[in-house]
Amino acid sequence: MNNELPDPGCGHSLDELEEYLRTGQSAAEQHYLRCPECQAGLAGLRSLQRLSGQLAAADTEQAGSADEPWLQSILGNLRLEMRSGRSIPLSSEYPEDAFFETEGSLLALIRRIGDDVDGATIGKCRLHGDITTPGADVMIEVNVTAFFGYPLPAMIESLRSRIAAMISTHSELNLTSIDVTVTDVHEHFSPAPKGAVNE
Amino acid sequence: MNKNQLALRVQEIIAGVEGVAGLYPARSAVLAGIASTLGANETVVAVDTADTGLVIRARIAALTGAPAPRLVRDVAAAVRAELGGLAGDARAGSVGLAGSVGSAGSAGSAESVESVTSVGPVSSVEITVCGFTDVRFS
Repeated sequence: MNNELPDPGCGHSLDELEEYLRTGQSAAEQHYLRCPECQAGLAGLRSLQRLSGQLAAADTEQAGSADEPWLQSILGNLRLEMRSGRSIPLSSEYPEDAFFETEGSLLALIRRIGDDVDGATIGKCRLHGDITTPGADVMIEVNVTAFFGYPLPAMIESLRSRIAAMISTHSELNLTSIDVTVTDVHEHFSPAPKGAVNE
Repeated sequence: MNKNQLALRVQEIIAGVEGVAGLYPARSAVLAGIASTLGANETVVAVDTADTGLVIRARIAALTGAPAPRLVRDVAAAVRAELGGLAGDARAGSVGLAGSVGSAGSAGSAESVESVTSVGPVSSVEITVCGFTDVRFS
């Protein structure tokens, strides 16, 4: 895996995390256990490992090697999301207090939602709008890699409703829209019953 | 009580709030790692003194089942209530920091202990949710 993008905010790269996952050893293990950006990166890499394994089981010609353009795209977005990003304000009871959640924490949650929807893997994920200003309009853009055999409208609706519910629960963002785009469909994978979309 | 002791107490308070999965180093994971390597008594919660009183800063992981907006308010309320102690005024909860200025741990420690003899109120609480997880890790 070539890491063309800069390292994440904490200084550790996705390559280092991948090696740690592969070997189970790293001098920076204690850091990984205490760094939210690295934990988000590790979670994303584990998700990709599962996806690659599924593809390998379905078709060795689509084994999900690191050279696959779509996989590179997901990895590139994962690198971007390994930054804490902007600080999203949360309201406080006392004006002197200050509460925030990081943009990276919400993006990681959105990515996890994709893991829970059968047949979907989230690639690009962005929060558009001035999320640092309370009440400002915010739009979410999500690109999805889908497996053939799953009804895409139902998959997209499931993603949209789950993301909306999550944002409503875990933030005070004024969410105006969620744009979901299916950017890739892998046609050689259909081990699960067709039409199965988690609700 | 010096700053480190107070920070550890605040850490316990925050970790005990329902919905908190764990705490991340408040200053930065890199600095925390360096301090750990050097054997310094690095605390997870940052406690600083300002003209108006104590400033408490913490970065937390939330359990996915705990709504973050409510959780941060619960955390701040718990900190104020606990530090306020028997004073009963959670907002103006105060704590005494007593001791002498010195260094913590063994020689070569990367961290100095800034002990304060004054008693000040909790001026502000800054909580940042940096991640969500399904299980507690501290």
